[in-house]
Amino acid sequence: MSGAGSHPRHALDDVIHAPVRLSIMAALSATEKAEFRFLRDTIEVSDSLLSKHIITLEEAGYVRVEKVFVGKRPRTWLALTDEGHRAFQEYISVLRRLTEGSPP
Amino acid sequence: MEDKLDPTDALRQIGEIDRRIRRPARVAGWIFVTLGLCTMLYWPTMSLGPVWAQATAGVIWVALAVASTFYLGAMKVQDREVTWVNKPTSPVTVAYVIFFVVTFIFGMFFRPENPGGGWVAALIVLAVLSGLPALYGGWRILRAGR
Repeated sequence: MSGAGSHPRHALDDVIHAPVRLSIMAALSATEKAEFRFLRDTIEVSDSLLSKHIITLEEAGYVRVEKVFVGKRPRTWLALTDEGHRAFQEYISVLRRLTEGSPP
Repeated sequence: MEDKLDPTDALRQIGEIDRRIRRPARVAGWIFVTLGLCTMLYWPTMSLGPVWAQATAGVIWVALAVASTFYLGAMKVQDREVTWVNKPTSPVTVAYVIFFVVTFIFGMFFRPENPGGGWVAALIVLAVLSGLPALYGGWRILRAGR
């Protein structure tokens, strides 16, 4: 959280409220799990940028990383944790409060 | 890339990503719908159609089964509804297999020499029932994708 003020914007989760991490959270919240390369292509970022933000989300406890082998090929699957789902739902409700409360 | 987002832009971005990430699941949904409709046509064609129609229906059915198996197996995103529908023990799969077998037995072993109206009506009812599970599965997936 970004602060202790009473305005709803202070309740926006800073871990999620950044373009790439928001895209990752939005993508993973809409599905059970997604493969790394599919996620990379869907949100249109480089491998390294996606990896960097995945680490941030993993450290926050929002994303779970699962590495499996299909034959000899490694495959990385990403999913939201329960905490990640809760945080994202809370983040969306704060966004809605902000947009509904803002002047036209 | 670390720029802060306007709340309206953030909501718009969430909607856009949601639409993109669900695309493979929507394709899977349409595959199930197609499978359901083709199954409904398959049985009457196999039991009542001319030889060329039977051969065409057989080829289409095998092609569809192979293509859908490959597509579902290669999906790089796991969708809750697709997983549920495609599970070997799901009501959709179980009902599909049961009606498939029943319709096959009815069409193969209980076909009279000259099928009358009653037999044809029963076959059509069974054919529709055979296709309904896949149609329902597809509808569930597409509905979840909104």
